[in-house]
Amino acid sequence: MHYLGVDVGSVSVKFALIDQEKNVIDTLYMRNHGVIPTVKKGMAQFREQLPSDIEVSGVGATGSGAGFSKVLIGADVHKTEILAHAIGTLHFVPDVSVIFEIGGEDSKVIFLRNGIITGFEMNRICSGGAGAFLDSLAGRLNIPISDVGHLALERENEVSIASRCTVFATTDAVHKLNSGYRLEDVLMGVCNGLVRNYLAMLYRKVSPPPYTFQGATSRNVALRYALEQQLGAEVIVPPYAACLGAFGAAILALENGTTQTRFKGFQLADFEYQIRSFICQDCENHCEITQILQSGEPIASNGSRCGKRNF
Amino acid sequence: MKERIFTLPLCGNSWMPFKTAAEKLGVQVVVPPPITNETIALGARYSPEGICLPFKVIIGNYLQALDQGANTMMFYINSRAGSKNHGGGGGGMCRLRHYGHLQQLVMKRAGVDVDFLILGENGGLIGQIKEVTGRGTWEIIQALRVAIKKVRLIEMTEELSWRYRAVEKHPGATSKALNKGLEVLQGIDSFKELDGLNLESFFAGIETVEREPLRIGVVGEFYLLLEPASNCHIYEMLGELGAEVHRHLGLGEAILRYPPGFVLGKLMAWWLNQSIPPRSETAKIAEPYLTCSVGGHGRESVADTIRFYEAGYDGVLHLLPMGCMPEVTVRPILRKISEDYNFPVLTLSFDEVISEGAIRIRIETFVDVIRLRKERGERRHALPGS
Repeated sequence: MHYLGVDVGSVSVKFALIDQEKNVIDTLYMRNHGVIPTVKKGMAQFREQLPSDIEVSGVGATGSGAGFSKVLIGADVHKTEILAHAIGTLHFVPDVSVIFEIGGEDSKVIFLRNGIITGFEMNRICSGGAGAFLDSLAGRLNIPISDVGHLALERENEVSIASRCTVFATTDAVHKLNSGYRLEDVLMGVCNGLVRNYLAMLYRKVSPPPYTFQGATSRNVALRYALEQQLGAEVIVPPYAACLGAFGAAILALENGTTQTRFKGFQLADFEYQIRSFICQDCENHCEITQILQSGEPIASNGSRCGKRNF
Repeated sequence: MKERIFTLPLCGNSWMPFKTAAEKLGVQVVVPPPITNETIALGARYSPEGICLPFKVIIGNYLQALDQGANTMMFYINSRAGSKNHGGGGGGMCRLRHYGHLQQLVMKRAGVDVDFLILGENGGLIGQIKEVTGRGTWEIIQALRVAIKKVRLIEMTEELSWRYRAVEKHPGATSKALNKGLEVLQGIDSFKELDGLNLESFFAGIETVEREPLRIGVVGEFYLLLEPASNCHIYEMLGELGAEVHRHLGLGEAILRYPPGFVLGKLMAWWLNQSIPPRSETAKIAEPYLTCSVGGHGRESVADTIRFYEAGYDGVLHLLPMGCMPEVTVRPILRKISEDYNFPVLTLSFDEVISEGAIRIRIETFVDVIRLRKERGERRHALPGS
């Protein structure tokens, strides 16, 4: 009996496979190059890496693309990423009080008390305190994103970057580099600015530790350092921090008590999928309908307000 | 003089009673087409950028109704409410007070030649109607009587639909029944027939499941409470998640709380056989947190959140258009109430570029969290807005 969790985010797709005792068997972290090819690639990779006798008895989906991936993979439960992250984190840090999660395009703070969510904050209109910005900056400077953290920790001087808006932050960072600042100093300035922006936007209610930091950005050591500095407390990065949402979704699938899973199996990798979208002209609502086709046959359709085109 | 063809902004189903009354008085009316993204985009293009969402939607309504032959825009402002320093209605201390005149300005700038009729601006609602329709007082009173009854029945039908949707077996069944019920309602124009209507019968055919729904109160800005197209259809969203919704103010309640005139108010309450909590009571409940009016229905939002808590609800949703002065003022107060009472309150702010996904994830999480807590036996807990 194994359970699969899938977290489709804006920048990446995460998979986690657990057994009945909630032990992690395997996780995958992949760049999101479109949900269909990424999910197919993930399934193919699982099939290669795992022994063939693995039987998946339940699938949980989460993340901003959960509604879509739920159909694609055949998920049994579908919960929001806030819940999934909280449940995943509680497994490793049962007494966690605040979860800091910085994703690619959205970032959140989750407050807990005695293992129960008491509140949450998400960025509303601006992705300033999120990771995609670091990614694009690294791309522009031609540095692998995985090196940014280590480079930044080698800073020598404090550099302040105007970080309220990431578009201007990029401009400011490039300008500072052009005026002869050291790369390491600028990168640390950017990390500091990102965390400052994130905390200013979302962390307005101060809670006592323990704190955890997760999401793919938690692998950036400079961000963790900046977060600890600005909070003035230790921040725990739980195991599988990048894939905790998927892990939480897998636990939700396990606890859901599904008897007959809708999972389509790892052979999903062999199917052909297409997406078709059109605007329904049947009434003034003009709903945008999206359909998933499997080998030419529509298997799911959604987006219709009245419901007649949803299945 | 050319014949006047009236139109009015859409606000939930409020066009239905208006149309009934207008037809009774022999006035031609064009109802704007249902609000779509196109409507909102159209309105936003001509409106000032920083103005609240309802204004933009209304301008979109007007422009689309214009295409369908309307030549006079009608708007209702309750000037009495403001004078009482209690907020509420069109005369309240918020931008709504200026809506009528701003709309005229925006239309002029858009190069549209239309007439405006701002009802209730200087008090004397019945006098104005007389002038427009040329009918006598008695006839007008009769039409208003049917209209206000219809307002109330529509409201009650909607409330019933929220209760049914939370326990429906087949998703969508309630929405269908609701639409059919509203059609039946709209077909009736006599007070007696309306009075004899059994609203429950609209929903009689719905199969339900055995489950205890969550009960969620909704407070906040009036237009967002009424118009589903402006609030991403959250009532349907909540219903499908198994939560029963209760709105703190409907159109009928709002009219009764802030009547267009003292005598008319008493008459309406008598026609509907309904008592309304006096404003002084609302003020008293809100007093520990808010000692004055902040315009709009801000004070109601505060008092009704506490009322919802005391009535044993599981949580409160607070809706506001981005930049709404009264509700922005109320927002931190609700957060404080949430902490003090250990009672979940989620604030959602809407504008024309909001994505439905962003609202959905917040609502789904809110419902999940409340349900988890309820299952673990700790019914009340804090959930400050996000």
